[in-house]
Amino acid sequence: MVDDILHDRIEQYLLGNLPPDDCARLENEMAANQQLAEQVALQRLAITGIQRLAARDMRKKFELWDKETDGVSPQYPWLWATFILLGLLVFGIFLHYSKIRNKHEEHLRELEVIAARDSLITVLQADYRNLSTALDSLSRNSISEKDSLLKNELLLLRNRLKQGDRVLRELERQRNAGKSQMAMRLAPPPPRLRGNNQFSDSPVDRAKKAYNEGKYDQAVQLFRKIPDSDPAQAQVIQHLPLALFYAGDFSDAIPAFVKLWEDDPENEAANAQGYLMLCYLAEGKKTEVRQLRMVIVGNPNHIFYDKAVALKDSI
Amino acid sequence: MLKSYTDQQIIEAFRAGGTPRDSAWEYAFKTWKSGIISNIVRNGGTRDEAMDAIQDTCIHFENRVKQPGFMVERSLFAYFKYAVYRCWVNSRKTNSNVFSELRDEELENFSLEIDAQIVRGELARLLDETIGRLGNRCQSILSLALSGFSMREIAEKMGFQGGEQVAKNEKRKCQERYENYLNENPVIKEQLKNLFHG
Repeated sequence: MVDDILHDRIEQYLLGNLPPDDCARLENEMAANQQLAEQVALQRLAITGIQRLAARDMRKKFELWDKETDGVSPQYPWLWATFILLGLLVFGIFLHYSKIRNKHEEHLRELEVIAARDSLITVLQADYRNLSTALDSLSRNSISEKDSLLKNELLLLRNRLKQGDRVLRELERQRNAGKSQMAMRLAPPPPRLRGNNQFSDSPVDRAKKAYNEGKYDQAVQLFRKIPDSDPAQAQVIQHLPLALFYAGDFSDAIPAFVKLWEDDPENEAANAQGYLMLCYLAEGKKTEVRQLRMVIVGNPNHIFYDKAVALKDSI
Repeated sequence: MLKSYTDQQIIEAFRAGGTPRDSAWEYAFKTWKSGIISNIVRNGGTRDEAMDAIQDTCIHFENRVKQPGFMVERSLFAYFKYAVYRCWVNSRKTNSNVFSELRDEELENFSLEIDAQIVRGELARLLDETIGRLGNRCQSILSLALSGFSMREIAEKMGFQGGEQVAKNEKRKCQERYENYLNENPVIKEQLKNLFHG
């Protein structure tokens, strides 16, 4: 029987745990001692067998762990969170650019429709003028109204003229309606009128109350009822243009804003300029829009600066 | 939740042996198994063949990587995966050239080294048979000792009242019993030695 110390030394050698010097020393001893070599061979067999034993025990553990993870993916919460966030980001970017593209396409379509309508209006206007001229000419040259052929011609022409006129007015209305919508879209939200005493029954307070409640037509009527001599006329000059604008009465709002601008250029110029620009836009008066826009974009601190910049493509 | 390990931490745990070593193996197995098994299944093997190859490779892999001179130049997963794969290929005794694609010399050499230590066939059967004669108690003690459990831990697991010294004595007795069996059965001993040396 081999002593414990040698047995352990051989075991450590076979497991690769001996330092190189000790390994070399043992190998030299083995070379010189057949019995030692036999013992090493014997222990090698034993260790190999025990390693197979240990491997079988590991297999049992592997099978157990395999069952634990069956159908369960490794938990990498940070990895999953990253993938989900990336996915959301990509989706968000895609959605955003999709919306931008759709808006752009919608805008281009709108421009196309407007351009087509404008062309049609121009053609119809020319047609109207020609027909009108023709009718006048026929009326002047007609010898007798009893000439039935001529009468029929005149009647046909008049009817065509009326139809053309109706179509033309409808198209112009639609064109202006589109521009009105654009103006309202660009306009800031209606500012609340302060100083409204809800318990007072004065005409100006009633008008302001109607305005703050969104009843702009009613507010316009009430403001207009206030006589020029009333001390509250200053408030009328200040608030009536806004009421007219948000009621959609752009043609009347224009002189009202001009009057406001003249009345208080220091405090109301910027506001009046901005709203006037939008009123002219709604009325289709491009030249006036451009002029006011140039004034506004020349001042980056102007309260309507962003809206004036946004207006560029529309005009 | 499973504690995660770096490659270096796995090696440290292997060196520590016992419970840390088991925890490291649990992490390694659960993390690596799908890659290893799918690699074999993809090449015509079965899951059971893959598990057999993992079983045959694991102890030698562990012994190799925990040696002081081992340098981790690839991932431990790569080392283990190729070692298991080579074991599987060789156990099928096919003349497969599946390793022709393996251009990595480091992994190639590692897997060859590990595979050289794996016993198969008649040698494996005979070893299993002779070790089986030791009985469950001795098999448990020797397996725990090889797995790096301390004598104190073995004493606790086996329920030895006398503690470390008793565990040490029992281990020594089990080893002697095996060696005495072989010495008393020279034919088997010779057969094993002949098979071992090819």
